[in-house]
Amino acid sequence: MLLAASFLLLPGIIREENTLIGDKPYHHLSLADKELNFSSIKNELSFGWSFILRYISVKTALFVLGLASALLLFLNLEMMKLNQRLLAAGLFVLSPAFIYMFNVGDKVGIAFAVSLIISYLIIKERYKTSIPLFILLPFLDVLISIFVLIAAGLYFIYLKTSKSLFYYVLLLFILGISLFGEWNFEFISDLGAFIGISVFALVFALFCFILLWREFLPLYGILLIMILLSLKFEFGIFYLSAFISILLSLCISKVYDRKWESELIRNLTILFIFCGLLFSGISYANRLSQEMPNESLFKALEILPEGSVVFSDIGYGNWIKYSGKESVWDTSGFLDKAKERELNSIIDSKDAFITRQILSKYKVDYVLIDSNLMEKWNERGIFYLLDYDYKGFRQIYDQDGVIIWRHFK
Amino acid sequence: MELNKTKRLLMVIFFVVLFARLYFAYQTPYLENEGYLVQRYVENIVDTGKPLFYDTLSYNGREALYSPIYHYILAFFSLILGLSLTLKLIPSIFISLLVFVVYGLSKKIINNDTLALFIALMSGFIPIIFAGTLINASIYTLIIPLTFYLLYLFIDIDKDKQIGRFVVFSLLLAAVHPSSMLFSLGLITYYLLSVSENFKISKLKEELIVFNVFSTFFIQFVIFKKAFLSYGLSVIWNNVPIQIISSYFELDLIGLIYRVGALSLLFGLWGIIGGIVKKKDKLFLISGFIVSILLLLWLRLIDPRIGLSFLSIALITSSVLTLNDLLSYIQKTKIPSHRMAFIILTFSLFGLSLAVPSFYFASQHISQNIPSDYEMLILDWVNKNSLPDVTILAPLGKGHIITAVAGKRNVIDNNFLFAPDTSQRFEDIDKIYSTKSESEALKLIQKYNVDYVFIPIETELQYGKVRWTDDTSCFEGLFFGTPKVYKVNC
Repeated sequence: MLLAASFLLLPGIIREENTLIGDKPYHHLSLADKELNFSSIKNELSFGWSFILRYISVKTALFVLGLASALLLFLNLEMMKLNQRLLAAGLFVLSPAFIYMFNVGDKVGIAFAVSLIISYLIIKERYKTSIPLFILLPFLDVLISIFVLIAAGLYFIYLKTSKSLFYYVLLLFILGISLFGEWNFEFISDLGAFIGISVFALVFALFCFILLWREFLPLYGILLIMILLSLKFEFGIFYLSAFISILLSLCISKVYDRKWESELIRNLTILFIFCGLLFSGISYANRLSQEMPNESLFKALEILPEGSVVFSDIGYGNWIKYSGKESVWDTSGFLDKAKERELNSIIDSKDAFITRQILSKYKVDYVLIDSNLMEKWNERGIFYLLDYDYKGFRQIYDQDGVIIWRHFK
Repeated sequence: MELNKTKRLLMVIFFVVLFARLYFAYQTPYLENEGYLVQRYVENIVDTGKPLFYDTLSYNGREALYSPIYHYILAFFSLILGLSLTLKLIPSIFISLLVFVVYGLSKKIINNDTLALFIALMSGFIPIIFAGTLINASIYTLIIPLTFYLLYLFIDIDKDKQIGRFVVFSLLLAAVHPSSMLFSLGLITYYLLSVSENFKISKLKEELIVFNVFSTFFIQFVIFKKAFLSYGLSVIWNNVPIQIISSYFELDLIGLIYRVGALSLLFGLWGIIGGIVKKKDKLFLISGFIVSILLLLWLRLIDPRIGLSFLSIALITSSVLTLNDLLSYIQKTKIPSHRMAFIILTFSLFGLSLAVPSFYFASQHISQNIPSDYEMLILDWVNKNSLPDVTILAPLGKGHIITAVAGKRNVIDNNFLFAPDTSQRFEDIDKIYSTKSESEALKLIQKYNVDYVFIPIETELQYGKVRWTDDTSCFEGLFFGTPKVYKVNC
């Protein structure tokens, strides 16, 4: 629990900015400010997390959920030895996925914690008690609720009915995963993925496969399915991380208990493996702590009138919304492809007429660019127009690297 | 007594190799382009005690990502010997130490002192290594002997003392350079090769492989964390500009024969095949290493110069088995009277196939890759007669000379990892030198804040005369020989 507490607090402690990490929590916080009826929450099926944030601060909620998840994972593994359970929970806490879930105020953290409670209740055969949680889960995250439902179904089929039916359903599930969603091969945090697993965990899991594949073959089957799931759905990475932690705890205890010719080599090898896993976790925490937004962005947005429409990068949409302004686009919900293309064309275009036409279509009042976007949009058309189209734009703010232009419709 | 004689002969071989190298290295007072990068890194350590992780001169200022251990070692020696002597002498000593390692390895394979000594001598004259590491203070002068020393330790490791040494050198290799991954890959290939051939390897060796793989992997990740985060798995290609990536990793087969040595290639491959057929554990290890290099070369995941350097040592070591078999065979034939003549002929050919190309390539290398006196004079003039923060435009191959000798900023050099927009810069520089349009050249010159344009003879041979320099109102000619230098006044 101490380790979990440390990794829950670490990104916040080393973060220089006094803001939440990423844009996801701002989306939920802006929803939390609104009245909770379906007409106001457009495209938002799982508003449970936003609802909770009306009453509890994000940081407190994440801290409690993080500790609870580490504990719940430990409780879920009662069929394992005590040291293996502790190791599994510890390795999970070190994983980048855990650090992301409970340091970035995304809805996935609470959904993950609830799914762990459900699995604990199922293991304890308290099926009726789990029903309300099954009902609650879609309000937290629809995709996770579908996954938990399928996983629970598979578990019951495996326990209660024939094995062949289990394999048929499993095959159907794998087929389903393969057909839906888009492939995303960026799932290793050390190789640049924002949400991913530790490369050391993956390499050690593969090494253990060479060593212990006969013993752990079914577990590696599950690992393959989890990897497939992670390549298709972002939430899969969180379950993959938890599963790899369990697998690694089994592997490490097996490897450690094996008879080694050289104890020095055994101890050093295990040490390097732990150092690798720790390194992944710490470097990810450090990376998270440097994530946007910064305070200067909100300070700049404060000067704009409430309800005015601001155009910036798609990733800035939730921050703009949180500060009481309107954004033409953001990363939450579904974005019309045509609209996305149109708005992206603004960034590249040097044609003042077309740019102004699109900005007017979306009733844009202001254009906001900060130092990060200057680097990202380096030398693209929009800068040319903002500098030279005096009829269309006028700079009204330039402080701490954030520049705002007024757009004349 | 016999042992002492062998040791003495080995010392003679070491000094022969060292003096041959120094003879060529001191044909010029200068270094190769890459050598000047090492010189700057070492100078920075000597001056500040810290490695140069932010290079203000390279690419107009960029982050530099590397392990500074080698540079610290050179910095230590430079305090005693001085920088210019250190940069030529110490790398030559490091690479000459290879003769001891190759001797040890060969001895373990065939247990024949004479042959092992001969192979040790030959290992000092492999053309690709001899010419390629002569005057650039290359880090590979340390990496190559270290790698093969680890192979030597691993080949029949069984004692605690050897394990301790293996651990220390394995960690050192991993901490010095990413090429340590090559050694780990070689061990994995050795393991797979042994398993596929139903060859039992000792449990201790298995454990050491696991240790080496995990420790190397961890250390590399710690050092190059940022590069892995930025480039992902593409870090393998080192951020090399896309325009040269195909030629950068291209393997020239004819060149391979010349640079590795025709007979060492032939005998080495024969030795490997013989070793596998006869199921010789020691040859399995070297085979694993060779297979992994060939695989990386084939997949273009390694710079051929580097891959071939390692490959050549592995091949010359395995050729000891072929030579041994050949000698045994001759003894069994009915021509014992011609035995000595045959041996002399074979060994002479073997030696000539290595020494002659080595000396030829070394002379060629010095004449082609070393800056001329006039070039150095010009850069020295620029250093003394221009403002400290000016930028000099020079082709890729002159980048480090500009920063080290002129002490000014460059636009591009071949330290690509973590350099900004390498492909774009390469394309722009190509355009600047090749275009006939002054406005196009000026636009790009302004893009990179260029103050001086450096036009070496190689660039004029490649692109022809740079036409836009005719506008004397914009480009003030300072030097008109080879190279030419213009000051940008527009």
